[in-house]
Amino acid sequence: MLTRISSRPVDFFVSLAIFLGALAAAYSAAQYPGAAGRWPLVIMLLLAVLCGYQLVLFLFGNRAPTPLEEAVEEAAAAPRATMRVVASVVLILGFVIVAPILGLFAAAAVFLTAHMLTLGVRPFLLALASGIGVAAVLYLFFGWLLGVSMPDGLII
Amino acid sequence: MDNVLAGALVAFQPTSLLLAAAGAVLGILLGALPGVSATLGIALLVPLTFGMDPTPALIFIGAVYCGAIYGGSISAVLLNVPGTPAAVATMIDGYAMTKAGRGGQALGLCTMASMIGGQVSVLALLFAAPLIASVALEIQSSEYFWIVLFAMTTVGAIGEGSPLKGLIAAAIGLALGTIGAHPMTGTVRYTFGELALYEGLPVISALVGLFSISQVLILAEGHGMSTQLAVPRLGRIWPGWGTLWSLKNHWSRSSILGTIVGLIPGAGADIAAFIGRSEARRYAREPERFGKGSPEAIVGAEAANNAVVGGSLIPMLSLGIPGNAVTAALLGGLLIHGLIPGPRLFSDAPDILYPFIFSLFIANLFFAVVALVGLRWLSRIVLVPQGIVAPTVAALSVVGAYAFRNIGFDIWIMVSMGLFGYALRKAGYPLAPVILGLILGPLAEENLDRVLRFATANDMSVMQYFLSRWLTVVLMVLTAATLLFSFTRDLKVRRRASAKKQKDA
Repeated sequence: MLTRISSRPVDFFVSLAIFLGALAAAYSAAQYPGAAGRWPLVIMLLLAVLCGYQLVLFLFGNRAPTPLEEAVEEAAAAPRATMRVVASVVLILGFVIVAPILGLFAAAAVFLTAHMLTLGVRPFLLALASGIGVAAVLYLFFGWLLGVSMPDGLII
Repeated sequence: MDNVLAGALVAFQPTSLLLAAAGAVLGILLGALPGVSATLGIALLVPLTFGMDPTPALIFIGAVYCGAIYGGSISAVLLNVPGTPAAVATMIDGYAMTKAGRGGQALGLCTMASMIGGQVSVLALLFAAPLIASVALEIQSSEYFWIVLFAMTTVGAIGEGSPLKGLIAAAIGLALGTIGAHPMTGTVRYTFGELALYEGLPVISALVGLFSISQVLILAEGHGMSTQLAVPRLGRIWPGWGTLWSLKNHWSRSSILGTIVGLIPGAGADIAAFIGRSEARRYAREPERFGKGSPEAIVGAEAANNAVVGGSLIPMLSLGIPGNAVTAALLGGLLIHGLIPGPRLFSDAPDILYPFIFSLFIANLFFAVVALVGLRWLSRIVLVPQGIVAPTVAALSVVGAYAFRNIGFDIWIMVSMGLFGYALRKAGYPLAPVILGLILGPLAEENLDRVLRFATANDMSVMQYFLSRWLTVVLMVLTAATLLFSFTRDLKVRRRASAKKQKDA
């Protein structure tokens, strides 16, 4: 059982999280009065049953993973890939947090440059020019052409 | 008939022509970029059209759809990297022709086959959708409820990976669809006190997050970071009228097959392409050439995958049931312009629908002309490094999600759904059933509530009410059969994988 979990940890933990989430949501649904709780309860219980079955198959079934499941687990294994993904998540979250402070498009220029550099775009000037260029196009399209009002920031 | 003619006139106005051309070109570029699929492209563009009128917005998005499905074949043929999943079947023989110095001819065949497949399917859409819509007006709540369940089980069962995980993904989507206020009682569910979730999880933010942000993280893993240094020499592109005529059986058969496949929920352009290719092999003059650069294989795959465009729009427009992620994204586009897809759409908004349908004819023609004339330059798009594509998609997602409702919380929903989508993909769960469940879940609940009221008023149980309607019984049987098929298929796939593992060991 532990061997299976360690060989495909992402599959196991995501399925477990969905299973536990479905159980918690089913409990909440049971508290909603009358018709409001009926459909959510059915769906959450269905989800819990399906996920539970998936977990049982994973842990105790005598069946191999499908080729797709094997491929995605192999792709997740490389540590440098994991670091790039984590860095991407941090940068995206930073972009969303900083945008109301700096201005959406200024923050976009910074984010784009930083993200491109993280993903290996070289030389630095190419990343910088691409980052500023894409942010400028976004500003021209959303801010000027479509006239969408964006949150004010220190810059733009 | 007046509506049809009026629609054609609007579609041929200069603004509409310009939008169809722009959409087709943008679609080709988006489809050609490895890592940017048709679904991702449309998910990114839907929020952008919010400021436009409904008719030009739909014309633009429809043209992008047509161009993007074709565009995937460019990188598939030239670089052996499919730009969209639908191009995988073309890649096998297309790249073989490129290695033999006939990449241009392969692309020429892709272009013409895609155009023909697309036109046949749009013709089917023009005639079939209004017919189905008029019949669908007779469909009542119990049938609608089971149509949704049937669509969800089919979407879960068909497609890549484990059917069980497909069904779980469908259930996840239905579960997400319960967020927000119950339409009848007003009871607020799963909002954790957040006002922005009162009307439910915003479909556009969820769509953009699930497909765009998750794809950004997939690209960030770096498997496509290497930059191509040159595009292979294309040579002659135009395949010649004689060659096209000699392949007429393949493109006509594949066009019809692709249109039919497009009707089936969950069966997208990728499945259609493989079916088209395998049927082409069955009737091929030279089946031994398949896999080594066969024009018959390319035409069979490409005509089928573009024929899915019109086919998939038939249930979406006439019943309001999107069958795949792309039409789910298109449905999102309709919803943000206040249009509710379904049987009444053809009677309520013919002035929007018919120009949209006719513009698909124009878009198919445009992408073919643009491709034949400009492929030598357009094909260079595949040289853009994914290190530039991924951040651009992320920035566009954030800006687009905010532009939609001007609510900052929407961006957090988008990012959260993106992280969730990434986790699902890494665990082997498909995303299309999730977004379909999110869209169709409220429809299912609403119709179930109505059925319960009817049943109570008639002193019947819900099951008795279902069994009293023959069409509902048919749908129930189909749903059960699909579930049985999906579990059986899951068993077979895993046993085959297990046997292969034991044999390799």
